[in-house]
Amino acid sequence: MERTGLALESNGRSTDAALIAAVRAGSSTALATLYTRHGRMVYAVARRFLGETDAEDVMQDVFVGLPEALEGYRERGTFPAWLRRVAVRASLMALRRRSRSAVLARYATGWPVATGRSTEDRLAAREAIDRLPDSLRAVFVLREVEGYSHAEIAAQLGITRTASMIRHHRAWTQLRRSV
Amino acid sequence: MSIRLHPTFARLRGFARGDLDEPNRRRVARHLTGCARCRSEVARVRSILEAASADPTLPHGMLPAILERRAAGGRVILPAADGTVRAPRLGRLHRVAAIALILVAAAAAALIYTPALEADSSELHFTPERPTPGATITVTYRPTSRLADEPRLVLRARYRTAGHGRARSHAVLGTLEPDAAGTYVAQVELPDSIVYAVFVVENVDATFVDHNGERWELITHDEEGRPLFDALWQRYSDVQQRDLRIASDVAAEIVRLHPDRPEGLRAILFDDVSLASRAAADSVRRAHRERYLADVMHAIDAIPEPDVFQLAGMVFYANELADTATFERYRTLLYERYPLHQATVQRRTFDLVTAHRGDPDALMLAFDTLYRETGTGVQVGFSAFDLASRRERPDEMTLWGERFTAEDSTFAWFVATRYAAVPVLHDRAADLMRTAIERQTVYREADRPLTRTRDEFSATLRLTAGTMLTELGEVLLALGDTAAALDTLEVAFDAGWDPQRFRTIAALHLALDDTAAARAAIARVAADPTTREAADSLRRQLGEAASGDRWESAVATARSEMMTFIWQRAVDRSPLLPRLRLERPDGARETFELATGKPMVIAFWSRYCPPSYAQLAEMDRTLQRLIAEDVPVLSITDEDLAKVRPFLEQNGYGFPVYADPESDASRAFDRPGTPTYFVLDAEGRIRFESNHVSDVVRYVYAIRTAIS
Repeated sequence: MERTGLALESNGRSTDAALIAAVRAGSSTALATLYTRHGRMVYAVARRFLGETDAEDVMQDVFVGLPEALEGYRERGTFPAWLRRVAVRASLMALRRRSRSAVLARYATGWPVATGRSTEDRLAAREAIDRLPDSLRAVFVLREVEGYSHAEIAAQLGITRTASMIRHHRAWTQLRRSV
Repeated sequence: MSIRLHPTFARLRGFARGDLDEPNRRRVARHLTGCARCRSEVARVRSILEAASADPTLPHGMLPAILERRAAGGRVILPAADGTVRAPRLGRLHRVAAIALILVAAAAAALIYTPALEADSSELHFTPERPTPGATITVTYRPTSRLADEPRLVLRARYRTAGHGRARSHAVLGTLEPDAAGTYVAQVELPDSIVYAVFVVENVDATFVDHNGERWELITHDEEGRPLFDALWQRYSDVQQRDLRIASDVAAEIVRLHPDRPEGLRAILFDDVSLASRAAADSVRRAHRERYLADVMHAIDAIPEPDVFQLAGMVFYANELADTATFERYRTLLYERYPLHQATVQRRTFDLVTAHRGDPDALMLAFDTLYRETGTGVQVGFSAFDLASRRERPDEMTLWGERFTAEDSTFAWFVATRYAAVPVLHDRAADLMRTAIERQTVYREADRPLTRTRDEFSATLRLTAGTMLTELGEVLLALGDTAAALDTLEVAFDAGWDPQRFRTIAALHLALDDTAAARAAIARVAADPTTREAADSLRRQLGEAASGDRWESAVATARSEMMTFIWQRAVDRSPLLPRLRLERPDGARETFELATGKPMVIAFWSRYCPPSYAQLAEMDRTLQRLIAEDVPVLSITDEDLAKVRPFLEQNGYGFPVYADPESDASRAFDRPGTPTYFVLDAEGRIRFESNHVSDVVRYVYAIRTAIS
């Protein structure tokens, strides 16, 4: 058992800052704690860009690489926001790696099935999002979920701002048709 | 079919995300209460956004795998994530959201009429023949065979009211009920305000309009049976847009019947001067000064209270006659007696332009002073705005643009297009364009032109909307609001078939590098027989994307869309005569069969009809092209060939022209107005009818394709 006198939040939890310091120092317990706190977010981000298998790979990679990556964390914003950004970039890298012709992994499970009137709509929407070509889905998710501007998306994906707008528009057009 | 104004998708999406500004949010909310279609669009956007941001459940067994990989020395280089760190989106304000416009392409009803070989011309009469304003008249209508079986018919009118108002309105004046004799009758109480009207008869659904070339006119009279000046003047204004010969007859009638009105003289003078050579113009003016000026002055001076238009008319008449003394005399009277009237403000505007010629700064100041003093003036608004936009002064442009459109909102589009030429005013241009589109492209029955069916009017509005939306799209692109621009262009793309518009849309998509959208637009340009050549340069710009299978299939799609559009406009009826005896240019008579085994074009035109005159150059090109392609073409004029030939030669028009001395053509095609173009199929049946020559080639192409 590692002993790393972690700073605690008022509710008795250790703060992210303390965990980060511990992870940097090599604590796998602290890494596990960060995983339980933020793993779901990282997976969700990856899963929005990628199929299930690829998303799992990305999430694993993010946490495996986290101790070293934290060297670059300047604590200018909150840790979850930084981690989210790492997850986005890792997902985009994975997208780029994936060959264009690769058949997408099956997306049958993993999404919450809420009850209520619009469940079917949302399932249909989810499927439609998954059916989007990678290039359109990346822009769509960056814009609608991650809230990036078209200029930022352009920089991330190495495309022009206009191309980002067009892909965004296309994604919506395609989603509206299929939902 | 109807056009309905909906918020654009970009705006509905903003609403669903909750990031519209308050005025727009309220606008959309108001719209949603009455529009199930948009409500369901919003619901759809919401479910997409919810699905997009829903968190999936975390798969099991991930943490051990991570820790094992770490323990085994696994390292991963992650991409750097420095730079600004942002929170996930909570809502974003769209500075510019595109306007509410989705055109509902309701099942477009094809205009298909039952054949009517034996039909003959209809008649409309009313009694008394010389009604006073507010009189009750009995209207009797003997129907054309195409309306003969209707349970009742609608009497519709375009009317004008007393005074010099330029507004023309349309109204249903009554319902015609059938009587035992097979005619239809209605008692109509004319509103007091109507002094002049043109009648048409249509069926209840307005799918067929019997307009008799707009020749069923009602002119109100005074108690002694003399046509009222207001009625004649409004008839002049109305007829002037259809037939300048009739207009000049009406002006002469005004001079004869109402010697105290200068308006008729002014109209005649204007026509005479514009037709005469420069040298002859002076002698025309002299003749007017010697023969008419004293009489009309005498007549006006005998009236204790001449009205504002009599005085203003004298000012204009004297001005055109270059008679300074008379001009100044009546101008003084006008300014004294009617200082705030529009006619006065208009005159004073012209005075300022003359006084400050060459000094635009002073002129601008003077306009401003005049406006503040009178608080009104379409004319001063227009002149000042025009000057401001020629000077490219954004602050002056917006000041006068606002004053001008407040005066008359129908100028909104005009002002917006001028704004669009000045980059710092693009924002305003877009806003104003949206307002104008919302106002000008909504179907209002009262705006339906007299001779148009409902479907025709809807189609026209759709095309207008398409053109306007394309211009808005250009402005939005210039503003950098690509999302709204793409939305707008998408709607414009679907707003009816107009290859010129597709050219513009294609160019915009090319500028955006949006290859797929550009290809679809260029394919439409290429599919249209009138713009095939124009497509080539666009294709070159598109490069590889404009070749191969994808290109071929885009063109095939475009072609079938065009055919759908064209055949929705098709009719199917026989001309009322199977052959026409016409007079050839060499004076001989010749009989033409209408069934030629090929598509055939019959063009009715008149150089005295302003819309027809305006199309002559294009008509010449089109008809010559068709003749070169071996399509039989009959172009029929409404005047003597001896008179029209020198005119055609002078202007270099080469299309062959025929006269209709026995009225065969007029009867066969049921007294068409001008310009009207009929396209017949191989059996000689009328399949298309249009007032625009640009449609003709497309129609011929459609029939040829159908034959082959």
